[in-house]
Amino acid sequence: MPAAGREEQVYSGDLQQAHHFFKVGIGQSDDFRVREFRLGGPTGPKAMLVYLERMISDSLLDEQIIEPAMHFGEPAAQDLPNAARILAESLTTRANVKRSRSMHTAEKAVLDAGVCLFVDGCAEFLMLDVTGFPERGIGQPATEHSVRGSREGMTEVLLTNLTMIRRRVKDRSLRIKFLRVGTKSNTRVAVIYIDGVANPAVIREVHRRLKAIPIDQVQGIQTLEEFLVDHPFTPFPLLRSTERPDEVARQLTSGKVVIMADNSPFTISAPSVLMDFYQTMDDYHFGFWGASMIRIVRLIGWLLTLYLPAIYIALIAVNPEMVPNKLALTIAATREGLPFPPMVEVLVIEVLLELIREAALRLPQPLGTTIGVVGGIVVGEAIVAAGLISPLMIIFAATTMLASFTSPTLDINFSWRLMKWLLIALAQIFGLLGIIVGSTALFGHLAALSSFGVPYLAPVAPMKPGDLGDTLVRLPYWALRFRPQHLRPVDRKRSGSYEHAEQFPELAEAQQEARDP
Amino acid sequence: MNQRERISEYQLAVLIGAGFVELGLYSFPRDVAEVGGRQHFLTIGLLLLLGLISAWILVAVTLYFGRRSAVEIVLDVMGRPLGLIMSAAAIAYHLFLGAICLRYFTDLMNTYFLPRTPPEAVMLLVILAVVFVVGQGMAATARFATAMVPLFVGVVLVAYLLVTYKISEWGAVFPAVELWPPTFLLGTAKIIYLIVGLETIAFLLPMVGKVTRPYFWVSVPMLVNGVVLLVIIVVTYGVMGIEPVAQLQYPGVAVLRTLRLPGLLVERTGALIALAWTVLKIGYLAVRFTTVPMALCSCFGLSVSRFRIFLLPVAVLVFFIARWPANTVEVAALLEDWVGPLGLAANVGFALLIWLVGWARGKGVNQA
Amino acid sequence: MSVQKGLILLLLVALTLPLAGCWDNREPQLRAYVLGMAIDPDPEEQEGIIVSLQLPVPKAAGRGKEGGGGGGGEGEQYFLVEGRGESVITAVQRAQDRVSRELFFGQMRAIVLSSQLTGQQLEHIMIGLRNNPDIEDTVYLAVTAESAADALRLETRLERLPALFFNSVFEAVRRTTVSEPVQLWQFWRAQETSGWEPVIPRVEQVEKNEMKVSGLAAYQGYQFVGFLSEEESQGYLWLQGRTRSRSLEVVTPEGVSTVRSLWVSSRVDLRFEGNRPVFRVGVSVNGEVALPLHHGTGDLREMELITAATQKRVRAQVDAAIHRIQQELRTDLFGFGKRIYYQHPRYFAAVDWAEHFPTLKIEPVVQVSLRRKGAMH
Repeated sequence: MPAAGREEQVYSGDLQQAHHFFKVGIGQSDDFRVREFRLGGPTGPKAMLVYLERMISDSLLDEQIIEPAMHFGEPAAQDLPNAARILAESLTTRANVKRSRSMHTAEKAVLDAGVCLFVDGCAEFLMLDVTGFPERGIGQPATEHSVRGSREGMTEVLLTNLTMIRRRVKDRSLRIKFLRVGTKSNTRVAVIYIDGVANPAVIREVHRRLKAIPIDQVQGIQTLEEFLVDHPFTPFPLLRSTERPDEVARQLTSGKVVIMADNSPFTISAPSVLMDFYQTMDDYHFGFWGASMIRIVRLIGWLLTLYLPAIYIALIAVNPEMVPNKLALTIAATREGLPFPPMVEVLVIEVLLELIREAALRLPQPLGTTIGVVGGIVVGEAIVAAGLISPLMIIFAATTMLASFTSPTLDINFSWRLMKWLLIALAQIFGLLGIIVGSTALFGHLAALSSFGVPYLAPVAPMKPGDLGDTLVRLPYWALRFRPQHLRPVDRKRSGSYEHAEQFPELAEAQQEARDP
Repeated sequence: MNQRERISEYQLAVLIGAGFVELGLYSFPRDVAEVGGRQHFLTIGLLLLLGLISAWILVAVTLYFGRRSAVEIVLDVMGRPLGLIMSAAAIAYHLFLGAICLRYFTDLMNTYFLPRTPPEAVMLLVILAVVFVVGQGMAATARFATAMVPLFVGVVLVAYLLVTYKISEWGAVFPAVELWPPTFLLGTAKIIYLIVGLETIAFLLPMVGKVTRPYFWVSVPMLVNGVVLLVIIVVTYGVMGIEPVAQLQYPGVAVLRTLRLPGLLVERTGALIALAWTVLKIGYLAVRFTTVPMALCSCFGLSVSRFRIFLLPVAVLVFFIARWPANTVEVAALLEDWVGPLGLAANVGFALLIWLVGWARGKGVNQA
Repeated sequence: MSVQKGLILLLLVALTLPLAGCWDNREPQLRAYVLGMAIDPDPEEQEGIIVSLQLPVPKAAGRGKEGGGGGGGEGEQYFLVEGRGESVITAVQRAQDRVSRELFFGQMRAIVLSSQLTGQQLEHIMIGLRNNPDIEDTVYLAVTAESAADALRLETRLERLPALFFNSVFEAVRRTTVSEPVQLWQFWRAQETSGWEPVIPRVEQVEKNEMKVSGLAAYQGYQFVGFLSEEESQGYLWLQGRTRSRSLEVVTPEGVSTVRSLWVSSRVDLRFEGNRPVFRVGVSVNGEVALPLHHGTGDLREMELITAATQKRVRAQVDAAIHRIQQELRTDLFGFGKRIYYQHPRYFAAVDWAEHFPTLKIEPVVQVSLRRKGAMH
């Protein structure tokens, strides 16, 4: 039931009222616990703790709240109305203590793994944080491995994730704003940005869109993403998701707004452009020559994923005059006696590969590897030996599959693999012309996309020459002096200029011995 | 105007450029050889100057009337009946230009790449792509053009230079100039008209979000285009010689077809590049497919930003005009002779006329 | 949103396209690649021609290694299909009738013409070839005095398929043959240009299993007028300034030495003497002395002798070429007329160039500069 539909109840200091309030609400659940005791001793005022079982740490509750409360000493009668304040100041050693009078706040706190302490006769109650539900430890990110970067991946607990961000961006202007999304799940969503860097219009828009989400539950960041994007129908991801805290820190400092939801190890950042899906942390952990080379390899991988099967069909079936002589003869020889036309070949082998990929993903890890080997090698070998599919096709399909995994993020990989089929269909009818027209339409679509108002193809279209330093190549850090202009950051300047010292006279002198032995 | 339809001055410049560079590759050298005689490429400097002047006049007139679309201005200044007739003529002309362009392209594909595919299928494919791109809004089209056009112009230029390096007959490039005034003037007028992209300016200038340096941004594509065309023409003549160029339907493609890089996966590299020119063709058609529906919107008193309503009808119309060769071939033949001087006169002349009438009737923004 | 609906509509339309048909899509198994074409006049029919098409046997291709020592006999690599007709189009049609797959000309690399074809026949053939969109503009042309079909039947030892011989010889060894490769578009361009007549390289069979490129065939328009011998072809190539790496044996008073040309250029200057054009063709040959091998600084006088002898030798070849082309063949293979046409169109229009060319004054000037090789050894 939405909280807004109920009239506000204020705790009056009557334990019975609180009791009743919970009894008709969450108290109907069997994991709801009420612990009553007397404050300070056997004759002290009655007090009541409410919480959800196992959401809190029992030992903390015992040691740091119940035990001191019982030995607190009986408060004087005149102190009773201020008991909550006194308790907050001197009783508990828990750091996170809040006082409130609203019963709904109490309910929310309980649902959010808190403990509420009511004292009979005091019109305020305490909300204590003794969160103790079991959580997964910080592990390596599963989808974005890094060779030289940090090995930390985010977990399912929002606050843990926030600590990881805070540890990386120790700036007074780092803002973290909490919202609740999901009428049933009441998921805590954090909007994170650096004030004075991120574009205020984007911050406002993120808040507006998040508040407008009418869904009942949010179990992953994808749920939010589908509401937040500018173009709901496009197959392309418009918000970059990541599970790496260092990546998040990079996004924040470059002027993006990061959205994080409880129970999801992934974050999304707005605005995101196509290029963002090809930038990974590893690019920044390697030297810029190496990183640039990796970027170009990814570009080749992307081209192969999208175009190789379509070009195979176009060159074999529709425009064979384009192929060099000897290759054409070789192809003709390998295809002699095969029962299927190239289109069917591509269909069969691509579907087969997708099956293997999906099966390997769903099975437990060791079995998955086996499936990959069995599926890939054995079936591939057999299918060629049986004379059903040309060995050339196997090479092409395997290359395509391999190439598709060079894209560092999974969601963009899916998009291109989907678009591949459009090109395959067009290549089947119109050959190379079909591929070119298809690509034109595809890039026309990409040019029309935007993410929180930023054109998807930025910084290439519209062209922002200043932002090209971190696209196809990655320039060294000292050359990337400005934040991406297409994000319209408030403060464009990322770093000051730096002079690489050519000569250190003192150092040279000191090292004289080492140089001329 | 809808924010989605806003384009930048630079994007306008690229769109103008896309239009005439596209014309350049396919048929420009032939046009020059046919109309002006073989010496004509030397006159490109003069063309550019005249083109610049006419483009500036158009920009000046458009700005004078407060950056409305051409049709809106005409309707306002000339009054409803006369303005409607003039707009209808312009719309019909644009429809036929689009159809002719489409038809030529289809013929080209049928001649070189897809001999057995019915032309209708190719037309349908191209129209679908154009409608798809245009349907996403002018701003998207413009962004697309900015990303693609410079790239393809660069690729084609490099390919052309490769061809030159391999095979050339420079004697054909520097013949003596024996000018014959009437041919020269006629040819010059046609060529200016073809390269300037006056309609593009007239229709798209009002969509530019912020007009700061209009004359500069209109002259940039013209100069770039001048250089690009000069290279294309010189190289085409160098490779093909003058007479063969005059006899070819698509000299640019013919030149590229002689480029062959053995050892590549696609050995007929030049042909592939000629095929890649499709992208620019789509860009050029996209401009036509935007201007005609926008003009229709103005005629019906709708906001220009709602041009998508007319997009599909226009597409169908263009398809059917292009469908029967008689429509395009004969109209093209008809236009061939007088398109240059008349097209130029129509654009610049009408612009001046409207300016004069508007000034007399006190319609200009500066007067109001 | 209307845009989205429109997109979905477009998508649906696009999806129906595959149902419409795949017109140019042919399974590779349904195509028969034509690798070479030979055209002979039909001895039985007055105006007829015989078109022979070389088709590789797909099964044999790519499995050449397995056959190993088999060589000639079993498992033929290719076969020829013949078609007769008045035009190349009908002849190809007849050939098509005799093949189970669709003939595909997109991979054709060579066209061998018989020198016995008449001008009119060749003109029709060329128009027919250009009308076939599959045929590349970059197909190599060759002429033979013998049967053209036999040239495609000849098994050269290095190449698996005879048609590939032309591809290899013109692409790989183009710098050293005493000829120059001519592609379809080049032949056609020369046809279309005033004052310029085309040449086509000549091939001939020398042994049972050997073929060689031996000089050039001269044409006037589409009419074959005669062959240039190897010496004359070499002279023609000097005059054209084509880069050739060609060895020459020159005789000096001190013996025979060998010279290799490395870089050749030519420059044509046109001037008028009175009312008559005079062409001065400067040929500059840069080369090296391959034999004798020198040690140390070498003998300067000997170098001079070799240079002079080379100059004489080149000059002799050039003169032979000019004499043969101008006086005997009477066809402007050099393109001098083209130069006049470009620079003095009125003069060109006033004279009949074909008549004028044999009387044209041509002044060849040969300049040879040689350097020693082997000084480092």
